[in-house]
Amino acid sequence: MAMTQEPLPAGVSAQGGPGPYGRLAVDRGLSQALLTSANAGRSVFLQVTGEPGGVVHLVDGGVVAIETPGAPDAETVLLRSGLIPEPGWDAAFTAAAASGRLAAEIVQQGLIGAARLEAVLRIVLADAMFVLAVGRVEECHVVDAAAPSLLALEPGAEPRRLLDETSRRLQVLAAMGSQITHDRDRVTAGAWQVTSRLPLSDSQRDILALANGRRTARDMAFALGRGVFALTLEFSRLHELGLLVVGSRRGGTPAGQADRAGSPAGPNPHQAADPAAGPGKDPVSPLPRRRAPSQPGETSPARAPQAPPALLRILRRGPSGPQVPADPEEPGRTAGQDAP
Amino acid sequence: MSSLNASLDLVLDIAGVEMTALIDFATGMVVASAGENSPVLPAVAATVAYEARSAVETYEQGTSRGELDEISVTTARRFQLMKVLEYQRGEGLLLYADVDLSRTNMALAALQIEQLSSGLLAR
Amino acid sequence: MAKDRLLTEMRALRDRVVGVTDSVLASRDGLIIAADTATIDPDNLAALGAAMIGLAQRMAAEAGQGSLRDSVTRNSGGYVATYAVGGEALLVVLGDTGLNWALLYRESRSTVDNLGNLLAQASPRADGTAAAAS
Repeated sequence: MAMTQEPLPAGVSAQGGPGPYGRLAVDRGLSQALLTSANAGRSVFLQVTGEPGGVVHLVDGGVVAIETPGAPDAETVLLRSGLIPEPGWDAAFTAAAASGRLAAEIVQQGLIGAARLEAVLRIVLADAMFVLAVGRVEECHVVDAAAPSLLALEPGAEPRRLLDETSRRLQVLAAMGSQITHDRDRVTAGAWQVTSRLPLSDSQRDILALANGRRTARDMAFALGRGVFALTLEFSRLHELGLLVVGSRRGGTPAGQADRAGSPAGPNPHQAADPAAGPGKDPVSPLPRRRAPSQPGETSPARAPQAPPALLRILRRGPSGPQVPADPEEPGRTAGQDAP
Repeated sequence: MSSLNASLDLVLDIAGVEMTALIDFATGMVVASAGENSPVLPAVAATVAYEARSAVETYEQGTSRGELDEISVTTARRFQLMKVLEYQRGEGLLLYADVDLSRTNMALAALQIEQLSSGLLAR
Repeated sequence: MAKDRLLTEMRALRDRVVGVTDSVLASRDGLIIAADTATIDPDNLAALGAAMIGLAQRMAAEAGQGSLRDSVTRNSGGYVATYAVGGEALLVVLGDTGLNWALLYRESRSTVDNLGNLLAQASPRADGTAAAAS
């Protein structure tokens, strides 16, 4: 299906420019490797190194599964959402050991309709392709497919369509001017008092309840059993409303395939420099911290300054070692919990 | 054989339905489609899903909780129906159908689609 | 402060390895030394982790399989990996279902090393005097 210029959905305004997603594109090496395998109708594994990296499983040129740490897999989504109860899953898994075809077994056991399962698999695949293709790709190696994938989409999805969908998603995020990057920006519920009178959806409330400064969209996707792209859209909306702020960024890995805007270089009024933190490490936010899983509207008071750490007290004392003076704080507890 | 496409073909069998698609509520992605191959379907799907999400944001408030069922757009010659097949906490599936009113009428098309929709995903 | 350095190491691991959600550094007798956690109860993790390490090491010995590398509990909702830190402490690392626990093992080696060194620096010397506070 030819890609056409997407009109901006009505009511969506660009947040001052395209944001970081305006500079990202589908990785060409990955795209080429996929389309080559597709055209040849091959059954192979495409190993993608990078961040998040992953493995694309192809059968007869169609994508049947993608393994990546960058987005929740079908099992995570099916179980977390409650679409399939865990005992049922375990039973199907056991029964599928012989055939190696878990999808068919799940349907066979009446746990979910075939069409419904197929919808989940297609949606999960598109999400995995998105994070894989817009992430950092170092190399793509094609290797002969080993064992067949356990939970596979049959027939596989056309790589061209998956890549087109990824391009579409980039366009949407760029048009929205989304300032939040799905794999780097850890979000915190904003300092605004959120009242139950605001027209927030259940989904938005779920997100705000989990926004404790430690989770990126990817992390929250795993926690909720939802899609990374779906949550990025939600994050962007909540960010626009001032209900979600970026608390810190993951900085452990090298920069992505393109310059990303919103680098930590500039001062962020919601971040405070933590003198104890090493260079490039996460600063400790001074904002009132949200106790998860509290309801939106409750914020805990800022943590009171703690007495010097009781580290020495924990360690083995020599036979004649001096007793460390009793610490007024609870023994054994050190500060630093809840820090992003 | 795609079960999803088999289900959508049933919708296509309804008189007047020119095109039908299953749309992911949360992302606006076309999960599957059947009927005339429209190059603007991705854009339409994204818009439909966006409208549905906006509606849910409004209706899912604390006191007046309603459940979005469907959105439809009617012009002189066409009837476009977006039906919520499933929705829970931000995730859901929409059925989109584009109906030519010269071949049927709105009420009949809506009824036939309604009758099919509940069993669509259970196949 | 030494404690902050411990946390810096632990947070760096979380930063480096996608999927790591929390970690707890504990003594072998199950007491918290430092915790990089949010909603998880670090006290319970520390106590269980200490028990885990002890058992895992005994299991490795009993199986005649050399020394323990890691003890990984694989659950429907994620992973818990436990590593010995020197002879005196242990590190419990939690991850979601997207965690690559083999990668975590590799990436955690430097963390475990650094934590061990930091703890050794802070412990009292044999002559009874404590090392200078960092």
